[in-house]
Amino acid sequence: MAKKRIEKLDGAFPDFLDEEQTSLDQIFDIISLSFQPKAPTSAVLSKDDLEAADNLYDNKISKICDDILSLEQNAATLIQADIENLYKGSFVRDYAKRFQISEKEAKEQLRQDLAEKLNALGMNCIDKRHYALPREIKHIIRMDFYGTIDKIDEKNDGKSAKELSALYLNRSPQKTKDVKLQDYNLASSPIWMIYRQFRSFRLLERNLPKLLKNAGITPDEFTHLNAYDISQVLYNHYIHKSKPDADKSERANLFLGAKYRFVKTFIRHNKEAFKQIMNLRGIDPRYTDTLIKNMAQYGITTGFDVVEKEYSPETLDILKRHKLVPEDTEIGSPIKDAEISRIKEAGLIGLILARDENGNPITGPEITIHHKIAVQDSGERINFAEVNQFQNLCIIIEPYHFFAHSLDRTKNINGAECYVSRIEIEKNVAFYGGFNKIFQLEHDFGTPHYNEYDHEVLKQIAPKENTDKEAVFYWDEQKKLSRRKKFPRKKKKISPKDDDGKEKLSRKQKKKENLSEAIEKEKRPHKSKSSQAEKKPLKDTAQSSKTEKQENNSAKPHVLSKRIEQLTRKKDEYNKIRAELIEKRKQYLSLRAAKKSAIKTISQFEDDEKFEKFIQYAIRMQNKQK
Amino acid sequence: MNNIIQHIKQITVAHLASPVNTQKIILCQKELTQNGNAMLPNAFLDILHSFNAVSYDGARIFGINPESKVFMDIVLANQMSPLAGKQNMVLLGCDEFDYLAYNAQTQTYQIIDKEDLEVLEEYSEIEPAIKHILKI
Repeated sequence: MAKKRIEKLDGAFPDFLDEEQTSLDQIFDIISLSFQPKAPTSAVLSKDDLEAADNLYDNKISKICDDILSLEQNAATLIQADIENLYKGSFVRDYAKRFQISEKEAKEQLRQDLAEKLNALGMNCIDKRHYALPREIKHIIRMDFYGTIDKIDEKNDGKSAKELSALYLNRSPQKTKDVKLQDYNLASSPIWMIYRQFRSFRLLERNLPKLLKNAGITPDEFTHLNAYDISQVLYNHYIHKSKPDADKSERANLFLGAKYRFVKTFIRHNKEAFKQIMNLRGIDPRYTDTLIKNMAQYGITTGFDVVEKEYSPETLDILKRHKLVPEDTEIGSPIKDAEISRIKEAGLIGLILARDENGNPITGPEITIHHKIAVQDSGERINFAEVNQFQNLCIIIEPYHFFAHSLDRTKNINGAECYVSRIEIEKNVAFYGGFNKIFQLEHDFGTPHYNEYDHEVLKQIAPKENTDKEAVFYWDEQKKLSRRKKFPRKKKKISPKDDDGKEKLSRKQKKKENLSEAIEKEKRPHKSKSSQAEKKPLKDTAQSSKTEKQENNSAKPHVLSKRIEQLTRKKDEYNKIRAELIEKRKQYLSLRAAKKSAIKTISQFEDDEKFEKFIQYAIRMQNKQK
Repeated sequence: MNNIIQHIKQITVAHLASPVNTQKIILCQKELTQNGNAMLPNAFLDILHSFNAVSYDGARIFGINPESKVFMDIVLANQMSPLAGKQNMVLLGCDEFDYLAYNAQTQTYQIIDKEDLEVLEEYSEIEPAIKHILKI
């Protein structure tokens, strides 16, 4: 990263050539490299070496880490304040008054400032085109994400926009008495074809014919079921499997949701690096350990208790009195998972909670899952399952998730609000723990294996209510056509009955005659040349095409060739100016980047001594590595 | 009401903000009205008296100027959302896909799609609405 910047700076801003050795990014790169696990060496480290390493950590690395963290926290605080100001009516009003602009302009300006700041910190705001997505597909995406399925019919309280079809409501087991399981052709249902794009649903496919038969849905009816009907069929079966109090519950567990699978896979591959980042962020190691354990075991990132590892004398007596631990348990013996759940059920979890110096239970940052491509953008994708693919998900620490949505902008299209602008997070970033790359983890989850979607089947699903002309529907083939094909120019018809029309027609005919005469005249002197060319043997096909072109050109009327010449000259001029402009823009951008980096570096190192130490340390580390 | 409060207290030990006082509630109601949104319903105020904001497994119930950045301020959340300035609506929470909002006109708690603001579910009581959004 640092290297790239140097390449830009070299030519554009000579004063900052030394930045290669001193840039913060370079220092961060060195530190992060030092965190990477190294291959074990055969040489045994002496006591002095170990002490020297400890000293280096205490005196140098820990201080640098603290500085990095404080810079990160300062940046986050400033961004948080900017976002709050942007959405605070009173601040916007004051701002507008101060600069004598309208409130709308003030808000736009503040938004622009925020976008620039976030951009400088690596969060890029992009404008996205709206793609409408039917709510049935969104319903499937949600089920895949959470791994649960909601009850659609007979809700205990309230109304729902999710409606079961008449076919489903009129189902009867009598109808499917003689139906064989082989009679169900799953490929005949357009909505099941969308369901099966998701791996989790594909795995349930084997049981589906049996469930349909038991539910009393015939193979013909199955073809016309909607997404809610199928989800209700699945709910009816899985609610009894997943929950003991099935009658009360309105949510059945189907499978492990994409969200949880992602967390589990991520932590399996990045446990150590994740731990180091959490330590660098100053999070209590006891919290980190419990978090990692929960991530690996259940795929969850919140909602767990951080408990002590061993029994203390004070707690053990009380717990023994309540008969929550075996009588032979000794002080200092490890607290087992089964015991923790028993203590929690008894409402005494507070006794074994791990606490900080002030006696407060240990807490950590809120960690959530971010969709890099929002669900509403997924219409541009061929495969809807991609929304919940691991490449599209990112574990993110708050408040960065809040920042990532701070510039979401909606637009009213056909009476419905749709997102048109949002912040983009890099493709391979799987964990986002801060603006600085040192707090981020990249992971390549590989190419997902799924079948390409059958567009023919997709066409069968018609749009329901959204009749927006601006929105591009994924099923609409028109979006692939060029603008000319989409909107053919209407030709004006001239009727020979009108006087004006007659005049126009006669004028046109005259023009045509004149033009054909001119063409004839132009053709005559070239005719002999072309005939000679025909006689000459051609060396190769390329040459032949060239001569053909020349012939064609020479055959063109003089007026036209002149016009072509003029146009080519203009095109050349235009290309020249364009190249110059691109070059100037490049120069401007590199200058701007240099300026920004200079301001950043200077503001970060106001203390000269500290700055000097950083430089020396960075150079030493680099030399060591070499 | 007590059921849901007890339920939330049991599952989210580490992510409950401490209760809010009446003065803060009044200021918040005033600010929401100034911004053109509806006022907070009484049932939601009862919850705020027990805990000011909840954050659980990617879902949130907003609070009034909560002390930690883990939680989200209700006024800010409303201003940032596409429902800003909608007279009869006030946002109370959200998950990855939906908003939980109170519709003062119909006096119902609605689960609204974040994308197209389509009302997906409607509840007359706050308890099932919160259960829906927190998935508990």
